[in-house]
Amino acid sequence: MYNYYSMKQFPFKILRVAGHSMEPTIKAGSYILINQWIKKYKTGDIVACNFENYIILKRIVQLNDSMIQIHGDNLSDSLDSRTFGEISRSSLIGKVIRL
Amino acid sequence: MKISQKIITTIGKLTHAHTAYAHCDLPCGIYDPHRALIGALTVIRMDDIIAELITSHPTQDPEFSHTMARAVSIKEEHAEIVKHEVRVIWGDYFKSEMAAKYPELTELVHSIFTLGSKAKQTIDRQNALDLLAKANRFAEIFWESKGITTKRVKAPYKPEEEIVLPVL
Repeated sequence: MYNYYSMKQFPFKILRVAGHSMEPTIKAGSYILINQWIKKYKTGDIVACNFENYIILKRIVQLNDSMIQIHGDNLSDSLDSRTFGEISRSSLIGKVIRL
Repeated sequence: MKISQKIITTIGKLTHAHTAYAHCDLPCGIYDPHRALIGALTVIRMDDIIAELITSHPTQDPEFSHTMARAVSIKEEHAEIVKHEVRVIWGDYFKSEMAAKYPELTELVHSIFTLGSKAKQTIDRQNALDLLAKANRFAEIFWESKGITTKRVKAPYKPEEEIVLPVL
């Protein structure tokens, strides 16, 4: 399970990817680097989010001041905003900066 | 792999990096064998299209080469879809006690993998039909494990073979 406080102490974090919803961009089993101290996000960014106490990886498709919509790149195998709707910006953990 | 990627991967392995879920190991509980059945139907259809191509293009012109390459690629992709969908349901959905209730399951899954591989390697229509038959049986077991009855219907598109659907 995801411990928010232990993750935010450092600007960068490496995560191991499980699942196929971001393929072919990010393959299952690969490792990625995220920037947790980033302040500005934009449409198209691949982000790590806290969703029901799990870290999920998706791409931002829409965002405003308080809410974001996220989709997987592999739309045929992705649980995302098409199912669970918008999520709060506060659930953002960081932006993927290295695949 | 780029050097930066190698470094990230090495550090990630050494530090036992947290896991980020890109679906479907969330777990979300969404399982459905239908995609496997469509994959098996597609393999049969591609075998038929390939056979038609061979017959209709005796000189193997550029049109033949192009269409053949695409049909083979689609057959390859969908045979893998069958294997993948069955693998996910078998590995993530069927718990040991459920698998014990269906003793044929392990052998059934293994035969699907074998037939799926052969479907990639050959244009053997009977093999593709056997793959669909096994995938249908897998679907029946899956839905039965959820207490849902099934029916067999003829797909309303070529190759017009039977597939198992849940009665919802």
